[in-house]
Amino acid sequence: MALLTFQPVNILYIHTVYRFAPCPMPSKTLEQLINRQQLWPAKQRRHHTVGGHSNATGFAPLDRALHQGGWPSSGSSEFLCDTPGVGELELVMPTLSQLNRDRPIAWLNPPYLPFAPGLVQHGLAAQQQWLIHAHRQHQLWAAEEALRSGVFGALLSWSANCPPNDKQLRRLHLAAREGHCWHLHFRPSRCQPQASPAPLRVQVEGGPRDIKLVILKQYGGHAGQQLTLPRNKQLTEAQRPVNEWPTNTNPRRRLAVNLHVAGRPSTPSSHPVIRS
Amino acid sequence: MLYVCLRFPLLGLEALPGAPLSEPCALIAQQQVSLVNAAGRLAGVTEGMSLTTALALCPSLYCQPQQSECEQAHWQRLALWAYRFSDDISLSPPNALLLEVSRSLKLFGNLKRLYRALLSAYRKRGLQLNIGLGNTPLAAELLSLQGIRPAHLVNAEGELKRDALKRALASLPCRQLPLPSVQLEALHNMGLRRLGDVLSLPRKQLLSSFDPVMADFVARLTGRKQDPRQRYQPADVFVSERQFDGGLFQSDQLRFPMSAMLKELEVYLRLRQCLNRDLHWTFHYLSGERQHWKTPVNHRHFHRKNLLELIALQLEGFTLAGAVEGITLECREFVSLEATKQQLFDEHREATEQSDAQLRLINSLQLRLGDNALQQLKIDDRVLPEQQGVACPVSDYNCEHRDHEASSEALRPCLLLPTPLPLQRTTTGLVWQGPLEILQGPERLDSNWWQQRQVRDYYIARHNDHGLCWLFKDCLSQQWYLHGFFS
Repeated sequence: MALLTFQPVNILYIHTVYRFAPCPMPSKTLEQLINRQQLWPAKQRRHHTVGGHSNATGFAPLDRALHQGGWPSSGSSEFLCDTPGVGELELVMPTLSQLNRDRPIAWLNPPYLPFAPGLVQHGLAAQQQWLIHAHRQHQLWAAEEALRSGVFGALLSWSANCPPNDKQLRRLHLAAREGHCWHLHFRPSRCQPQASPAPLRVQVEGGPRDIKLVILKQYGGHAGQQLTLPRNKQLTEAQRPVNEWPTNTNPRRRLAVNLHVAGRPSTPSSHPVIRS
Repeated sequence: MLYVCLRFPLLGLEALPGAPLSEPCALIAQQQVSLVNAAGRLAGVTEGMSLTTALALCPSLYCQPQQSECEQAHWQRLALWAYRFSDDISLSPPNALLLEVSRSLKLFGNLKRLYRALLSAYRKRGLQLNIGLGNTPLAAELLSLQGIRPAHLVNAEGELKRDALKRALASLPCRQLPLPSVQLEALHNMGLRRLGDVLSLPRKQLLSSFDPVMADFVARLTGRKQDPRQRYQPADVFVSERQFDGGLFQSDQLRFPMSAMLKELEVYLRLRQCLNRDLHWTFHYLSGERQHWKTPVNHRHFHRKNLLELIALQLEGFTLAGAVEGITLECREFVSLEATKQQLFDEHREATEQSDAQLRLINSLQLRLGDNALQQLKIDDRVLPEQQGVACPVSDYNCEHRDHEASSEALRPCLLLPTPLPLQRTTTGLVWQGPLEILQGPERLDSNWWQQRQVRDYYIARHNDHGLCWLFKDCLSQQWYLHGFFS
């Protein structure tokens, strides 16, 4: 009897899901269906229906600020950023290295050459990076094609020279959803007033030793969070002044000095050693 | 072996764009009527009549000179169209197609169904059709001359009645046989009126009293001698044309002919097992102008409905510059269709699907953007950073899967300027779109002496907008360069 009552519920549930999100291939394991957002466990419904699956960003404050709990796994995300080097890629590198384990990553018209040794240091595989150079009139086509194909885990695109309009952005977003690909769209911050169909928009600015983020728009709740994430210490740590140089003291003394230094809050050094 | 011969007696007229076939029509060659339709025949016009006589008999006769090019193209299209019934098709001049259907019977169930499908398919296009059946190509051709009803030759189970076929063949009049007139006259003089009479003659007598052509003919007819026909091969380029009399004025009206043309293309693609990359349309206006127009297509399967939607989208904002007299569809670029491999077990399927999709994407991107548009990153064991991380075209990429461990050396930027950018120095310091503040360094690189010695001191600097840059000072020339960004 228990079996009899259980079965119809189960069938009804799957049936409704199939009606709204028809599955192109008939034989999929349950896990695949869940991964592709065509099916979700009912108890997690509240979190996951808002925008589908997400990947942890690698920054705990950012994970908390995003209602999905991380970067979206598919669809368009806009990063509004004007100057290179403020940490706009550092922000997404932990997630990209996760995605890169399964599928390659595409770079469409990057302003500069992605530097393979630098990417390897971030945990990406050099041979799994694809670079697409598309001419202006083919740029959108190439982006849509690459997103829809489902080949790439993520596509990073820059479109400074031909800003796409609302309809084109929507097409890109839909293509990314279809191909289960995360589309990272880097745009200049003057595009901020323009309404965009991308469900996630983030403004990235640089701070002296950190990345300043403003979440302009996101799924599943209010936006407008402002965050400050630390950059890689090795990058911003200015060379220490002379009095902090390692000296030839006995080990016991050195340990004490180190503890003292580590306990101190780090302050920007006003006197870098080398000045040009 | 079972052959079906499809004869189109009015091929010349049907090939003409916009001929009113329900009214008296005739084709004229050398001032004589060479072909006339049923309505014309009712009015008393017959083949071989002079043009003036024909016009006197029937003043409303629609006369057109014979256009052999048009006729050939139409014939080729019909052959392509017949591919849905059989894969072995040959053209049988002057106006027939020969199909070998013994293998198609299984597909269609039985002969009766195949025959019905054939008939309805051609009737739908408004073509007049005579069907002949036979065990040899020649027999089928001869029976189609007569326009015999194959329904009489097939029993209730849809099987061929061989006796009936033999009888039908035997009752053919001898004067219709495709033989030299001398032979026909000889047959007539000997009192042989029906084909059956000829077939009943012993072979020896045939050889002694007639030309060897006759014996050869009988041998081919009865199947004693092979009668190979040249198989029809579809052309490398797909071209389809539609003509409208009076012209079309609205783009909506174009949808139906376009759909029909796409259907033709679909058959063509299935036949060649390939996929088109573009659709080139040409509109022929009444004013004589032409308009070229392209639908870029990228798909994995030819899906007519999707394509039609795409075209409808394209046509939406499209105003015709005048009355359209005809459209041409042309496809020149094709890619071969990759056979889908089915795995028995599921674990590899995802991977093969992924690699298939990747190949398709590479193909389509390279086709559209050029060969060098798609590159892959590579780490070379070189000293200078700009030689270390390079992008090379996918076609040149040799797949050596070396896992590059993240080296413990100093940090490297994510974005690199392929050629270092010289920096200006002012009294306050280095300047690149604002002042630069050096944070770390130097990291000395002194190498490449075997080519050109390079001594570089690399620094990490902070830009005015807080962007982190990778600079170096060329110690030999004392010049500063910008080389990358820690994005």
